[in-house]
Amino acid sequence: MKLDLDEFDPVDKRERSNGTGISVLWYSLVIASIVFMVIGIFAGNPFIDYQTASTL
Amino acid sequence: MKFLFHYIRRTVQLFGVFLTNLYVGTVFQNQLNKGALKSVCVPFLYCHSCPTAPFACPIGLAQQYAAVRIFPFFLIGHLAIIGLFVGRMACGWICPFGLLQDLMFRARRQIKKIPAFLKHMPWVFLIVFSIALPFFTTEHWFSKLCPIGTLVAGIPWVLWNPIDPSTGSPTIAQGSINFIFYIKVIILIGCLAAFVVIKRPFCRFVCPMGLFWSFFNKTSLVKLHVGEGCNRGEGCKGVIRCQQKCPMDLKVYEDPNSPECVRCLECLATCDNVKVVCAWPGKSESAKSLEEAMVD
Repeated sequence: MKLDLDEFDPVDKRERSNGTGISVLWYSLVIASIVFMVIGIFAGNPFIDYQTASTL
Repeated sequence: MKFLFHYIRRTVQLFGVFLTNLYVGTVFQNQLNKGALKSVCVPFLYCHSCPTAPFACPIGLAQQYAAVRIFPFFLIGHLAIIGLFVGRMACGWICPFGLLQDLMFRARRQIKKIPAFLKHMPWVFLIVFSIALPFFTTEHWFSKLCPIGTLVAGIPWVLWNPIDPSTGSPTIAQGSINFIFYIKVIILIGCLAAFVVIKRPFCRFVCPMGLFWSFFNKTSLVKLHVGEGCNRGEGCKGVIRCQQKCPMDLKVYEDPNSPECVRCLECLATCDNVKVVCAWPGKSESAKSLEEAMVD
């Protein structure tokens, strides 16, 4: 019977769980950003009366 | 391939300069472009008041949102999307002011002793000058003092000063150049002097846009990885090569995904131990050397 050393490697396990956490965070942030953009479009954000600031 | 890499990055940076100065209509119209594209911002700091700027500045837009008291959903959303994919890469690859700083740094012995509090100054420029002051005073305070604005907008407009066709009088009225303009010029001269002796001081100690991007360096798709072979500067014969090449003066092996890293990838061309990882979260992909990444 072969022993799966990976299963007993705490460093590897930690990395694996960290990776899952990052991926959940990443996809959540992407969805949140898209939601922000949609809300912004409906709120008229891109059509804001943008008077440029004085350069003097 | 490696020797080509530096020139490829410089070419892309020059494209950034071209992109931000596309609007040549100002020369014929003699007035500031106020077209629809001015509501869209470029993903780096560049003055919206520059005579040839077709797009807005993200920090200029943020100030305007604060001044009119509207939450910038769209601005945050679309900048965050870019950050989630490439982190702070826009700073290293396309920002014209980053290019200027890269080109101006010439000191053989750069100033290394920099007060620690300066590292936190981008927070002050973001929260106080770009949000709080515009919110309470309705004035764009960061833009008023920004050295980029002075360089690409303030000085060109003052020197050119065309007759505005809508009013029939000079764009810059006589006597309208007040003390703030002279303060701006002094700030610009100070910045230009600092560029020669410090690596990218504006990006490190001022830029609110860089601060915003820095939150995404740890979670972006593009990441750096330092391999096992790295001896943390001990084998570099007195000069830590990655730090020497890094425009932000970072020791890459200390934190490959440091919030300060502008993802210029120059360290990949310098040291074989530094690799780039580009993978969708949840999917594993091996780290690639510069040559492998360029071929891909």
